[in-house]
Amino acid sequence: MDRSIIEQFEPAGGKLRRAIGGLEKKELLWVPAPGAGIGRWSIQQVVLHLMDDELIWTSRMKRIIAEDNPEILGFDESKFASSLFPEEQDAETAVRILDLNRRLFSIVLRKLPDSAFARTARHNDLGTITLGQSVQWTNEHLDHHILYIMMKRDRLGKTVKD
Amino acid sequence: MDRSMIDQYEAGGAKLLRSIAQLSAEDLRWVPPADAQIGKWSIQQIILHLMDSDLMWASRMKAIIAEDNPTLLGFDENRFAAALFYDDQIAESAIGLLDLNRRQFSRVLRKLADSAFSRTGRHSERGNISLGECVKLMVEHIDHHVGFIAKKRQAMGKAAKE
Repeated sequence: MDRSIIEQFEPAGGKLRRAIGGLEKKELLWVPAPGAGIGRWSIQQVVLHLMDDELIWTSRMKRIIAEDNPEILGFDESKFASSLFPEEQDAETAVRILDLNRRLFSIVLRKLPDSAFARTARHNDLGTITLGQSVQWTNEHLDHHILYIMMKRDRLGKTVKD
Repeated sequence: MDRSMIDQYEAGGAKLLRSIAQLSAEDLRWVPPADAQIGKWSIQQIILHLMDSDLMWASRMKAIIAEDNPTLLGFDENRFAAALFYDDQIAESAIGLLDLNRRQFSRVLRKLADSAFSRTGRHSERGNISLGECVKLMVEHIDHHVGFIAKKRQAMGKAAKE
């Protein structure tokens, strides 16, 4: 068990906050042209998707820790994005939710012995998944979407300065 | 659909925060004697239970809105309380997360037509449950636990001042 995945998991809210820093509402809501190769969602939709996904995965990880090989069910991210009024929600609040959730859940992850990260669940789409893989998945998921946010920022002429 | 239920849902975090005002870390972790009839959990455990439950129910409500009669899996609250290091987490952060999540999700609920509150999910233990029933359940869930928090405060000689 590589415990550095917890160090990556915990501060990711700050990473997401930096990724959307300095963007105006209309830039957050800008939808790329189909075929642009930079993803079909607005940055706002990406941020709300990350919040929704994050809360679902943390609940799943809690069940993996507390229950014995629980069943977990996938959800339809496209239906979530089209039904849950992402443009009416607040992107900054979504980042705060994700950030606070990761910081609290990191307290739990740090208390666990290495062996707990091999605990499993049965996911109806992904098959058997361990706690360690779930943490890693949420890390990679956020990085994946941040990459697309950066491509959208480039297209908007709002590249993040280092 | 009584839409004032959404206002009560939204205000639940503030109500919970008031219920623990002026309690020390030690007060929060006080476990009542087994025969005291004021609940077996510490106030800290109640707060973390409410956060875990609230985040899971919000995801379930999102699935009810976005998907067609989705399956909602129950979780074992006692195993959560025993396995998720509730004493090591931070009660104020947990209430902060619950509060942000309720305020964000209230924006979604307010955008929905009355008819959407009749949409249903199939809960693995409760059977069919509508979105409107879920919102009501969340309001009642905090009220139920705030009632027990008040009893525990009295037993500690720390009753909340009006």
